Amino acid sequence: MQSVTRRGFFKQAGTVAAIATVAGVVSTAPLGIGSAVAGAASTSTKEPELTSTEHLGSHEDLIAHVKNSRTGEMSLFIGNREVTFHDRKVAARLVRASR
Amino acid sequence: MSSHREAPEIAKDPAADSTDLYAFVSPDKAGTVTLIANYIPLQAPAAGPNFYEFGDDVLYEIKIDNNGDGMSDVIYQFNFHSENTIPSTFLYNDGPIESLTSTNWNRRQLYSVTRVAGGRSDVLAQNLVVPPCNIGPLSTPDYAALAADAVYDMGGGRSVFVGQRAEAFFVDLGAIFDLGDLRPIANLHATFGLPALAAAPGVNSTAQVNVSSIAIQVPISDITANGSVPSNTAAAASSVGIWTTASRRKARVLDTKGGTGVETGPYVQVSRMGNPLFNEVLVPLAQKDEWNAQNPVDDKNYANGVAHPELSALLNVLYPGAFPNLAAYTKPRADLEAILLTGIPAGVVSPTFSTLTGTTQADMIRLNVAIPAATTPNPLGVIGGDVAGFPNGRRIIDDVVTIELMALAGATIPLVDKSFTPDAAVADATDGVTGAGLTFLPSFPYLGTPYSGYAVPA
Repeated sequence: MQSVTRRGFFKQAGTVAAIATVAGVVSTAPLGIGSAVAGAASTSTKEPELTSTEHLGSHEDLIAHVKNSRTGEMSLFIGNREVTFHDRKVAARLVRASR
Repeated sequence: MSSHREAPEIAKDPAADSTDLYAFVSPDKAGTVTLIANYIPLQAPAAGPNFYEFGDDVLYEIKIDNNGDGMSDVIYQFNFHSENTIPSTFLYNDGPIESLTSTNWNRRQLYSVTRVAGGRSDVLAQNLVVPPCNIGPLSTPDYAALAADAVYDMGGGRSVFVGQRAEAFFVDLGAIFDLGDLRPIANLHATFGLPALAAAPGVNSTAQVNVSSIAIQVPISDITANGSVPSNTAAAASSVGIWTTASRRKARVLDTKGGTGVETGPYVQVSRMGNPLFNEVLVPLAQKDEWNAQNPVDDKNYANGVAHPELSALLNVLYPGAFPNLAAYTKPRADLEAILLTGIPAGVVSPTFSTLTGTTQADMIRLNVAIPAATTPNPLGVIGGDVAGFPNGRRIIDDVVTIELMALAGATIPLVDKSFTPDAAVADATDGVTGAGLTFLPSFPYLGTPYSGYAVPA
């Protein structure tokens, strides 16, 4: 598994549109990360890191899994890779967006 | 069964469920070995409208350990993709399928073969065709010829066939899993105070069903360390360990578009098979799915089930007084540990026979590639005096249920402990089923033509 920065995560996740999903061990049901991130972004449009200049391949999907919202442990699944990182703020925003 | 539906979770996932693994020196093509991994158990031949196919979302692999560490050194990978060529029809085919390029054939599956070794990954072939299932005389009028066209020469002495075949494994499943009933000696069963059972011939529970096979025939040098062709049957370098795995993507999201959803991330192993019946009989039920996800190198964690097999302890309870010597034997079963986990060292069966791969305890089919195929094979393999058979590899004729039942009953203890005398009942420790009536092909892929859905059930 690889590590990734919070900025890098948003650069990837922000381009996923409606295909990636949060399947989180959080207090809420799974919810589309595309809409979750978009929703979060709509309330904080001044954050430049949410404007992605990177794009997934046309047939590439990305799935995010919030494993522990308290510690911010998350995994991203893309291609043949699993990328694990910790970011409590990102996790908290995803949980908030899922409500 | 050998490994059919052997664990709770994989039993719900037939496309990824390995059922049998065969590995043997090819009897008709010197210098090659044949490896066959079967999946998708207990296929009723009459299966329309959707016939059996491999999982497009499953990675199938046949793995070889050629240095005894319980880790793969050579891997053959098989990836599938399906397509509908006639989108307007509800039918699998809208006319006879008389060739692999038939335009009447709607639902087709293709595959690629990749060899991974020494840090390299080489695609050996791609867009090969899996023949259709054997439907009946109108849809697949000459099935044998159709399937024969699906044997591909990949170059380098390698051949491959992937498709439906007749089940070659035989077992009296109905009796054995009815609390250890062996029909031929059912009259000796304790029956838990219930009415006595009568002795009866065994019943083959896997008769007239099909299975989906991944078969590959490769030069011996393709799977040995350093590409060698060993000739010393007693040398450890002559034996390799073989197993098969199936893996699925770690993350999956279902959706309503196309009914398939999204899968991504690294592959996670969900099925594994080396020796027949290992996970089925020797691993506790609560650990079977965990075992499926492990590598052979970690099998020391399950070695206690081999050293002290539950079924061996039960035999004298289920058949009171029939196995007194076995009941009194309390030492770890070094014979089973050798047969199943390390290989048999030279000097145990004979000075020149060995399947030893090293000291690492790992469930793998061990094949001594220096031992040539038998001219008159005995289905009881090594215990029948035929050193080219199980547990030296596994041929499709080998009666692995009887061999392992007899071993569990104590037949092989004297190989490592001359002080032990097997009970007389060992000779009766069988489910009473043989391979009589099964038909095979004389050449690769050897497994017989699958039963037709039109003909079975009659």
